Amino acid sequence: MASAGELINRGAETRARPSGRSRLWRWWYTSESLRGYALLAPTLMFMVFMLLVALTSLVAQSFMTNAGANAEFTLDNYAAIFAPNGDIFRILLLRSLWMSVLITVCVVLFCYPIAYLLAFHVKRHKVFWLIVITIPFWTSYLLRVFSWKVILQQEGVLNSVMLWLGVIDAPLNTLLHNRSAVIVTLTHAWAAFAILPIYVSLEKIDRSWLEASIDLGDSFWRRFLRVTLPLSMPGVLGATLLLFIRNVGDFVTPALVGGVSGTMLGNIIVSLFTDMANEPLVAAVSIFMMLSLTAVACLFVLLIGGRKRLRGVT
Amino acid sequence: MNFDEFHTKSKSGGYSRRQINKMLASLGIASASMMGVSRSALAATPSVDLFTWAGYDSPEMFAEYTEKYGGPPEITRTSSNNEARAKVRGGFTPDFAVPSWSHGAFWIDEGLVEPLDISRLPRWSEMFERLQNLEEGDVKHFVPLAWGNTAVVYRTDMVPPDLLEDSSWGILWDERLKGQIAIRDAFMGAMLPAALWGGVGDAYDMTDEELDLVGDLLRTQRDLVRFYWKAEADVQQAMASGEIAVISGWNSTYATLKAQGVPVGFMVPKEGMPTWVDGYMMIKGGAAPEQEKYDFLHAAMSAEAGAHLIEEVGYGAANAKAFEVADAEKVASLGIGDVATVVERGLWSVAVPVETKDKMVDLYNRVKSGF
Amino acid sequence: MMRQGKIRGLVPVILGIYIFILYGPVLLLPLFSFNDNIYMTFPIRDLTLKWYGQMIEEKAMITALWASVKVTAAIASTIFGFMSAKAMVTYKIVGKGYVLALIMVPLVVPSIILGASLLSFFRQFLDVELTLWTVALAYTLISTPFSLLVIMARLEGFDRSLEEASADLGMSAWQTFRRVTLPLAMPGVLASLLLSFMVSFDEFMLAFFLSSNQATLPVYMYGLLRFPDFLPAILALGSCILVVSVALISTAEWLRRGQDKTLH
Repeated sequence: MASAGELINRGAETRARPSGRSRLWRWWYTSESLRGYALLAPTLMFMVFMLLVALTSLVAQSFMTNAGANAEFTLDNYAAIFAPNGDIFRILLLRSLWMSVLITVCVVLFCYPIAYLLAFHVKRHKVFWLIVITIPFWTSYLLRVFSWKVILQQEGVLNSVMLWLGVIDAPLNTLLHNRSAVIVTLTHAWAAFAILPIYVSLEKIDRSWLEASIDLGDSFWRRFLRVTLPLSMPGVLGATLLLFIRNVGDFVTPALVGGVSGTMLGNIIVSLFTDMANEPLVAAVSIFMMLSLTAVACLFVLLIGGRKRLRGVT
Repeated sequence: MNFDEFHTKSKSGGYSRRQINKMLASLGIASASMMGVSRSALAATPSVDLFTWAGYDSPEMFAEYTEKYGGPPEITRTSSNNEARAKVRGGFTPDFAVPSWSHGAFWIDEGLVEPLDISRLPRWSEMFERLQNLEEGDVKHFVPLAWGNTAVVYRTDMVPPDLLEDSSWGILWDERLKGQIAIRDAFMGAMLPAALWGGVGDAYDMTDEELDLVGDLLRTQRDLVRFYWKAEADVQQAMASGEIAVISGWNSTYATLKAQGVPVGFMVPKEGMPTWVDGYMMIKGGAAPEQEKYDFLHAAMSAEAGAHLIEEVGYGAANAKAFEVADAEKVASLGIGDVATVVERGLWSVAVPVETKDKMVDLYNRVKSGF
Repeated sequence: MMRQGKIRGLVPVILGIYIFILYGPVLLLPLFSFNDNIYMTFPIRDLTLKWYGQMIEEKAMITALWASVKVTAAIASTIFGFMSAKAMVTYKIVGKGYVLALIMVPLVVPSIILGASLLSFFRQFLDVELTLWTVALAYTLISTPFSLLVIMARLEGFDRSLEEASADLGMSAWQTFRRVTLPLAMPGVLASLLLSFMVSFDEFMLAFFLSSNQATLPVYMYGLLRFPDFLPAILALGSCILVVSVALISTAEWLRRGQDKTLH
């Protein structure tokens, strides 16, 4: 039994297919792909315009020797990455990927509850609270990192409070200049970027589905796991992708609070680019990082998307 | 219409003779009637583009130019030698950049700068002789502006005096100061003290064995280091809060901390005190007229500009006269003793040969990442 | 229903805790901006207003702040993001995955590489001058993926029959868009504007490579890290941004509430 919507659709299509027009025109009018691409065209053209020359020259450079005008084709740059001496690149890439995963997970876990509260339990002034939550992130990123230094340092806020509460006897000096400092700082720095997409997804959920679930006798957790969480996946997925990709390449926070154990691949790329005269090698390392990142991101999307399909939710 | 348009248009024959004569006539009348007006009203608009550091961009650094041309140069700021060079290499064409001499050779090799005609710079001879001969050879590309020493800056209340008796870079490797040391996060800044303490032949041109030695020294040091710092603001803050007791730092580090009331001392190590120099280089493809560029350099080389550097920024000036013009107390606060001796015997930083540099960068990155 | 009641009571508390955590580090800025010390160290010495005075006089900083505001590509990237999101969600497009990947590319490229490559592109390939426009183009490039993803989160599963019903009722495409599509997508659009603004406002590397004498605020601040004397003035500026933003939003909300009341 066709639904009202389907009937309207069918009617619209019949009306929209006039006779007497050329087949080409009809094909254009009814081809979804073409219409989609027409809408996408401005964005795609802009991207291609900006990136084409930049990226092709980067790729080309990575296959050249470091000889300026007399450069020849070579695979040496990529070989250097996989050589024993290139272990710094491989290990730092893994370290950066892993830290980024941790950060992304922390951010999403931290932000989901507040997005949920905002979407479901704040009745009035939603927009106001949404914007208020993002205002701390209008102050400079650099200043926020400095603030975290003040909080985590040996004579800093956190140590002082813990001493005063009697939780510790002497100030801890393991809070700063290591990997966990990087994770904490970046988790805070990206909080707003996760709250917004997740909120948008949650807010969209049709309340009638939730009410149906209540009527069917589901407990809060069952309702959450069967209805809310799957339907908020687009937002969670979007936030995860954005955060994960951006955090792998970060170099400011690791430089200021990371110390030795918190150094990430971004720091090495910046150092290679600015200190070394070997542009082809930098190009190769960058492309290596970009490809690895894309592969992991695709894997992640497949994982999440795959699970969605298994559950039978669109 | 500004000077540039007029200049271009008149050169390409855009004006007829009559029009030019008319313009000259009106100019003549204008100048006659403007006799009483200040010089700046007569001058053309300034067109020099300056690519410099924050701190070198105050009006006192080129006061005469501003007076003559009716305004300051257009200023673009950088915070890093390497990023500045990357930007110019990528196609940014200011008239002047202000790199450090340790990088200067790379700018020259990469063909980014023009050679200078020293005969058009009357203040050249006012500079310290050692600095006049900094760039070897007859062709000069680099006009020294400011310099600073890299020495040991320490908290007088946190470092036991016996550690200072030796006056050595070794203090940065002392076990008793574990966790209270901060090292500069730059390959040269970290490796120079190690090279000097390790007793290498030429710290600016090391052999592979010497590099291995430096690498080992850096790795031993790594366990004692609290963090590696990139920004002055960062390390000064750590020192002020008492987190750090000893660092390798500049005169300005010492002067600024002292002015804020932090108890610090400045120790000149016996193995040698690396000294950096920043200076002007004329970029190829800069759009300003040549005479204006030389006028700018002339203004920038003045003793007053140097005095401003000493008093307000805490750097040494290349112009020897600047030390006489500046406030004697401020000069003393730089922690240098006898300026002339320091200049003569300082370990002036020069460019490292490219292959060695690449090896040093690679080694430093490995050490810093924990390898 | 009992559960609901319990949660509702806790809502302000939890909201408060979150606000505290999010604002906490940032509240240190005003704290130290009144401190008579160029370093952000405890204990707090005498309170002073001189950093605010310095901030007002530091014209280069105010110009940089204004440049940063001007150059955020929020509107452009939201438009691009909206069109792309609508296309990807509404139509069955061949190669959707590749299109998504292409739009996400700017995020994957390390910013220093992207900055240097775009610089060469603008200066050596196109031979254009470096202005805030070149920066704005780069910012549009990196903000669009954010806009796209956040609007897609909103439009996913969008009921096309609503639009087609409106078309059947005789509304033009533009009216359909204005009265059906846009209101439904509004939270996503708002989120996209906020995100793009935040992304551009803070971005340093691209701005450094692609601007000349008109510095943006992050470029200006990075330049000053070599001179700690200027740090407190920046703290003062950060505090001002914080206070002014909260005041602006609160006023806007208060006005809107007043408007709502008069309508009833």
